[in-house]
Amino acid sequence: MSITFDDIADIASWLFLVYGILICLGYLFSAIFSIFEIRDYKRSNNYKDEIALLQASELPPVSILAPAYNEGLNIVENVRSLLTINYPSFEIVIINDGSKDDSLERLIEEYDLEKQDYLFHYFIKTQTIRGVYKSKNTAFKNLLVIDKENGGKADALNTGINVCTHDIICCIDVDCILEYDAMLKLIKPFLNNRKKVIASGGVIRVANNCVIEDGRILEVRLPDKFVARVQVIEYFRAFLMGRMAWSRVDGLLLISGAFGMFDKQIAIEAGGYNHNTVGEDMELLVRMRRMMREKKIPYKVGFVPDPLCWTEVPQSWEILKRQRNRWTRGTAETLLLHKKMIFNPKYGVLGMLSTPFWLFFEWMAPLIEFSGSLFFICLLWFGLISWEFFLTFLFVVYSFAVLFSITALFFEEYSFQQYKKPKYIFTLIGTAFLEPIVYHPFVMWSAVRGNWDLIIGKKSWGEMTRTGLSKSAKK
Amino acid sequence: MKKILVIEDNPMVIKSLQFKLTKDGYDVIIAPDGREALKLLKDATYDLILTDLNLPFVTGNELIAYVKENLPAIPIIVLSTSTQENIIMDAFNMGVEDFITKPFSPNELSLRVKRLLS
Amino acid sequence: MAVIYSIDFDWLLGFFPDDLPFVIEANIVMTFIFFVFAVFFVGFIILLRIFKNFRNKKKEEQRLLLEDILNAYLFDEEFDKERELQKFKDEHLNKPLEIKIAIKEILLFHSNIKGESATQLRELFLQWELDEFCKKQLANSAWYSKSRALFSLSEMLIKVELENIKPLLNHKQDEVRQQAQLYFIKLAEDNPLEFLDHIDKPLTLWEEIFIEDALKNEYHGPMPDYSNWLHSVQNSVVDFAIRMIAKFNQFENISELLPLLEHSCEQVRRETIRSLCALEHYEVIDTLISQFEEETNLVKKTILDAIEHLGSYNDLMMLKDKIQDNEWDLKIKYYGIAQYFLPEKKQSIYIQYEKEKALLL
Repeated sequence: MSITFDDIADIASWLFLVYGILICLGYLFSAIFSIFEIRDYKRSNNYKDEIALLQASELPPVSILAPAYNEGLNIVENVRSLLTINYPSFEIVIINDGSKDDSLERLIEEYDLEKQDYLFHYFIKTQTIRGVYKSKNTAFKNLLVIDKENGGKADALNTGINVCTHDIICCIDVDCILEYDAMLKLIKPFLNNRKKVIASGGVIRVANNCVIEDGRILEVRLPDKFVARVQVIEYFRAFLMGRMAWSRVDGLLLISGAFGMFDKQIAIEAGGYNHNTVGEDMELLVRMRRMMREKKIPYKVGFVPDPLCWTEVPQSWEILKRQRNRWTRGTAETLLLHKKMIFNPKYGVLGMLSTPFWLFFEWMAPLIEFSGSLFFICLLWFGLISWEFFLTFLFVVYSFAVLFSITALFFEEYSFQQYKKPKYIFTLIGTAFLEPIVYHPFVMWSAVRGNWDLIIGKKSWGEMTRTGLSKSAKK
Repeated sequence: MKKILVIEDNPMVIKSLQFKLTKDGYDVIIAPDGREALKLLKDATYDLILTDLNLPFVTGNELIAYVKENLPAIPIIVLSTSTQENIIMDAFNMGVEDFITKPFSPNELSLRVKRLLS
Repeated sequence: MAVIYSIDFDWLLGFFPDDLPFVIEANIVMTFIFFVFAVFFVGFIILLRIFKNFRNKKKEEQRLLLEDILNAYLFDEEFDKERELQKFKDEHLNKPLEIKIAIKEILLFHSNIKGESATQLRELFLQWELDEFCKKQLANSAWYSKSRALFSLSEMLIKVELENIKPLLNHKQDEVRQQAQLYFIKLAEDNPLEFLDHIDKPLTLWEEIFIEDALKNEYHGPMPDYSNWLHSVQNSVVDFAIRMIAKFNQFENISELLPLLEHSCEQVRRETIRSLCALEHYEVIDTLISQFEEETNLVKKTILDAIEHLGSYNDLMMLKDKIQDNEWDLKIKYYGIAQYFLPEKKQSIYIQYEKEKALLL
């Protein structure tokens, strides 16, 4: 019996088709779960003014850890806005990760810092701490600045974990913009659960172009640049549909490094952030969950659907490429490190649903898409292409992609409706129609390159050049 | 007419205070946040300040510190949801004249304002 | 796909050549379906936007009307109550949305105001017969109607048959359960925490914060003796009772607290130590020092905190040799407290810590 090229082409076509259908079904289910989750959340949130009560209550104190590397441009303002966070009891820990600029000097000068003989221990192994600084001014008594040898973001966060005093830590990007009551909302899962809560995360939004003053969002605006605008839709899909659904089935694998809370003791027990991966935020949560599961301690990961944190997304294709390259490597590395969990019923939802989903749909999707394109070129080469098939298939994929984004837009309208101007909604719809043609192939290619870089062993984190959000976006 | 500067970010409270204090015969000027209040304080004089502690941009404590240093003649009443002892103590230590906790009684507030302004 | 395909799409395929293979026909149908859905959602988004805007406008109008009339009602002596209120009721309290906003607005006013004005607001609530609406909502099977109604009724101190509320204490939805708890506290004339004996799930910290707040600000009867719950089957209730003993300075219960230092639940032991500390029961220090070695890490930390609060440098010294070599978190705490007791020796204590570190690592 011989297998002809035609047979292979046939089988491959069917495989691609089956994969496509599976993806569609996956998305369909996540949409359904999300809508229920959003509905329940909306219904549960209109009683007493919780915020006022929480402000005045004795909540568990939180250590806010913000690593900074060459952030001299905005560090002073960023710290100032962190200091005005609305929470009854917290400390701010800025970790200067061996910056080459004058970040530390600026902080010392502005906040009247002096070096302290600070008692600490390397619970997690990190680079050497050069000094711990506190302010002489009591108005800044909850500010702690750590100066350390450069070791990357994960290492900086671990240093923060080692030095900070409180039992709950909140890791944030120093330049992100927090909503006024973000911390009070993010702590809620820790308070309102009968199981041990090991972490909680919130929704990240795109800050580009928004009007920002003194670290507060005054007006939500849609980014001018197409690249950033598409990411608004991407974030809708990821948070309003993806994570919302995962949270409903308790299968969250990722809390964004930009803003998340963790139980310090559990994080230390799990070994802290892994500095060998570029996806340290995802990897830590997976490891913490895995540990809890293996120890058979019932636990929970919280998720707050409110927009809590606004961050600047890449505005240029070049930076976007690096970011996606890194995300892909982070995902792949995490899955590789925890491959034992995939399809392992011992890990429950995580083993049977979350990790396989990440494997097949997050990590492999771009690869399969890419090989599909290669396959198409092969067929073209051998003159085997059925144009009717190819074109109609392309339309199916395109229309599904558009439908999916539009659904995400609908969820946003239904839930939080942050983009209030009527013109924005039409721009977003237009963007949704363009995305699959203009933006998606680029992101796919970046992801493929990410996998390639991973194989050849490139470890770069990809420095993000910032445009200086708080300055550029002022009215 | 005596002028009262009300610094508060809850629109409902603002409206009630405005209504009540205007009825009592005062000129009520509203600042929705601490920064706005500082601006107003630089441009005009007031006979009394009624302020919340949790304010956007500039906190109540910063504001009190500013007034006590630069405009020590203006009495301050704090109107806050905080019932925590240390917060109330801090406020009195900074020199505020009175501390009223929310929820508040409008009649009582009106009396306390009158006492400070007479 | 077969299912979808069995729906009649012949008219659509009529636009294409007759003899298309199955896969291509399927593709065309799928594309069509997806696009129809996409267009449908776009339409839906626009309609939703229009509807929301309309509704928000309505809400805002109603809210402003209410703000005016409420302020006039509360603070304007010349306001013709009888006539104006009836007029408002006839004109602006007919549709469910209008009523809901009225309830919300009165509750909002009420939450910021106390004294005579608050009583007036509760009278108005009854006069506008908003309680009837709430009672109907309470009977509604949807949990969010129930919990909202419970909230409104309890804020306005409106009595309903308690037997109707009791089952809601163990409702499967957290929000309903919580509002039922608060209902019992706010309306109780005495013994506000009686309901704690009837709950079948542990209290969460969240619920405890609200219970404490209600006890402090909304309950006006005699303070309950919290020692009644020190032996509850629910550890969370025990935990809460211990904390309340300290919060409300029930010094008479100190002797009841002491045996709980031996409780099987770690959290209960910690809370007991903290409360004894807050009650400044200095005598407990010796017991804590003698128990230190057998305790878990978290309780050890709490004991150290207690010594910082109640004890002396000598008490602290007693623990020095009881801290194991690998208990770095305790060591840091230990030296930190030593620095607190002897601020003038801060530097030498730091050096001592660094020496110990060098020795052990």
